[in-house]
Amino acid sequence: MPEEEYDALVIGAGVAGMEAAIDLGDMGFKVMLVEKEPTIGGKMLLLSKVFPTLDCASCISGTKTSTVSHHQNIRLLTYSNVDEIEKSKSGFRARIIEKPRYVDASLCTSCGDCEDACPIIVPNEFDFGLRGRKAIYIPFDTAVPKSAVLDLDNCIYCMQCERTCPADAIDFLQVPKVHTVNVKAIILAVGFKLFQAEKKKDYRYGEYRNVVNSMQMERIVSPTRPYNAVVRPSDGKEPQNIGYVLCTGSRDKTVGNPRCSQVCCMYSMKQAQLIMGSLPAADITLYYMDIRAYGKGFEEFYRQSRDMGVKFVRGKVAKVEQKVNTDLTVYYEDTEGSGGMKKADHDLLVLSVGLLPNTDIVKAFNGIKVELDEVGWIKVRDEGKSSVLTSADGVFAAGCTTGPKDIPDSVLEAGAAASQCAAYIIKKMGSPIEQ
Amino acid sequence: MVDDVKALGAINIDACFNCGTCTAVCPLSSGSSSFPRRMITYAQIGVKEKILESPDLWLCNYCGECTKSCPRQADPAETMMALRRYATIEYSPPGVSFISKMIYKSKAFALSFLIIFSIIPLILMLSLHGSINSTSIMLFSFFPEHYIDIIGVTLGIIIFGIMLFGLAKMYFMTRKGVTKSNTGPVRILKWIVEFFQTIFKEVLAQERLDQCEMKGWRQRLSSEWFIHMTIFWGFTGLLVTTVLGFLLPTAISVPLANGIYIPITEPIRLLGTLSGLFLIYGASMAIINRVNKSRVYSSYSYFTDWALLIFLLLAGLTGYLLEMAYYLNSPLITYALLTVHLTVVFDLFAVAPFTKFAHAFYRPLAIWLSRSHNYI
Repeated sequence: MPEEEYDALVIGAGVAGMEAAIDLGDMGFKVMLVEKEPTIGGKMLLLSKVFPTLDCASCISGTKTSTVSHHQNIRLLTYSNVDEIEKSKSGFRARIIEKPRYVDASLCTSCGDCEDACPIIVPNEFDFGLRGRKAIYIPFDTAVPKSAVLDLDNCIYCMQCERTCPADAIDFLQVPKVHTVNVKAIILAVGFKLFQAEKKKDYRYGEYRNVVNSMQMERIVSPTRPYNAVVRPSDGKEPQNIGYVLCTGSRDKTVGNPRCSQVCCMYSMKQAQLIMGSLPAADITLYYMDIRAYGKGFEEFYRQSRDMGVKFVRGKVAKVEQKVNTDLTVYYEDTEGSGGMKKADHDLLVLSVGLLPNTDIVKAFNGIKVELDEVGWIKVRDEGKSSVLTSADGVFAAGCTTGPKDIPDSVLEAGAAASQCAAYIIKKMGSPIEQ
Repeated sequence: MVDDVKALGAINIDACFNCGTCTAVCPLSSGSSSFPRRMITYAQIGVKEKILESPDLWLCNYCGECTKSCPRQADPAETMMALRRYATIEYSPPGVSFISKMIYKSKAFALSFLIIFSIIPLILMLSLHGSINSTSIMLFSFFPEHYIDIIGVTLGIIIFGIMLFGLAKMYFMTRKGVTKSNTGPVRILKWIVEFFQTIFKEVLAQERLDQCEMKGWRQRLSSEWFIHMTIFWGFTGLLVTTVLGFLLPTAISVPLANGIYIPITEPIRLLGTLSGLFLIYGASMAIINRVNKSRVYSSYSYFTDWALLIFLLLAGLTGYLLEMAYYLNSPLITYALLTVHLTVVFDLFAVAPFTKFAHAFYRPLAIWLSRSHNYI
């Protein structure tokens, strides 16, 4: 394959990556946007609403996903990994491996016949295992690109889908495609990993079915929710007494993450308000260590949650036990008031999991030093100067790449990274407008 | 006050952000008796009275669950231990508390303190000893028994006086504390009943310590409860042996003084032998745990922790060697071993108010007060 030329490479097509790509594209720069998942949109597309305005998350990110996929200056590669980045004459040369979908995306009409034909059901990623999907599947309704993808690990090669597909789009003979691209600058928008709640053993996530993580709860309260009702996993009962354990996997040295994840307080309150919309009679208790409502409108949102009747208990839940009817008992100390060891029953327990670094990308850099901080996020070169400069010249960072952030901050940083990146390219190569 | 407590072991006390995980995982914390978080908060803000007025310190048995689950790794269990050391110092009479403080502050002082207390009995032994009969063992004509009795009783009275002072101070302070959080009136009958309950359940069977750990016989043999029980019963057994020997001179002292052979099956001798076995097992297991740092409670050891355990083990071992030499009929070795044995036992008691030994008095008192005032 011939080498392709772009002005910038944006790695990660979540909200920050999309924003940065659109900004650069609108300025006239040619952008390559790479996403490792089969669809773009990142974590934001999975959310129901955003705090503190309670705007629809997919309505906001949906406009970006379609802009990105139709933008004349943006080349989008999904289901692709950046394998290696090295220095080149024009800046960087990147080797990108596009994984085979075993479906020709240009032919696929996303009719869904292959899904109906496929006999294999596995837990889906979009709903965090709350629902199933087939081995060949269209990830979700608003997926971009809306094309089926075949998961070969779970496929039994029955060929039912190939026989059924009316567009003849299924191609079992696809092989990985290697793209070599030359770019002048790179923006890292790799986002974060969710804390795996199994690691906090005392909360029995994965063992007790009614202990769910906050992303699962986000799916349960969203309009496109799995069961089309707010129900708990163990028996489909409508939960009436929901507990939230904040700081699961954040500010906790026993699981190796001493930092605050910045968003858990707010998204937990947001979910609590949304649950009150769906289940007006439900009691909701938040077990918190400190409420960090630091942004614009956050404190008001916190007070609103209190006024709506969300119960706030200051104390970290220490352990969880399951009762015969799959209800859960939590043990904690109410550190306000008289104190002392307390027990409380909940029929659904949500673990507000923290955000962890997702910075495997640094291994792809060959001969270029992109440094990490002590927790593992990408290190910001000079915190006082700019939050989007990494230790490597020409490599910028946006969103949760450098640390946990909420959506407005991520978008803000994406804009900053795009303009700094543009300035860098112009300084080096001259303005694209003049050319 | 925070600095004082830090010097006694609570090095991470500042890290605590009061989330309460420690209290919620604690198998012993319940109802109005809520620890360790509350104690840590008191220490952080320096309210000394609240700490000394609460029995909570002595209701904790250092199982280490809190330290394992602390999200800040602030080590609440060791903080409780440091506060117990602090309380021991504070309850002691002025001079004793000064020496205690110095022992924690300077290793050199601790060591010289120990050496002085080892030289005193050695000098006494060497200057007061009687005739050395190298053909047959005449233990108490080598060192007349009434000297042992005089020294022992004098030492006992001093130690008991010091402990009584501490106990009285603790009693009045803690009673104030438990009365404040009291849930009902205290009845004199309950007061008496709980005294015996405490003696039987806590001192003799140590039920609270047993609640700290998982059950099952295999775990039990190496459990803290079993180790502590063997030390307690071994020590108590030997104490009883000594007192019986003092009270019934015809059984032990008279034959020893005149070189008459005592069979190993003689009841008092038998009690001593068995108790010694218990003491050696318990003390050596505890020392092994502390050397390996295999449990949470054994990860930090101060001079005062080592001193008590090592003296207990030495007392047991030298006692056994003494008994062996006696039955092997080698007079000179027996005399030498008696000198060492008595020195060790003297040390054990002389440094008791400064070592961990103090808990043997404070802990039952705290439990008794808590039980009789409906605190636990």
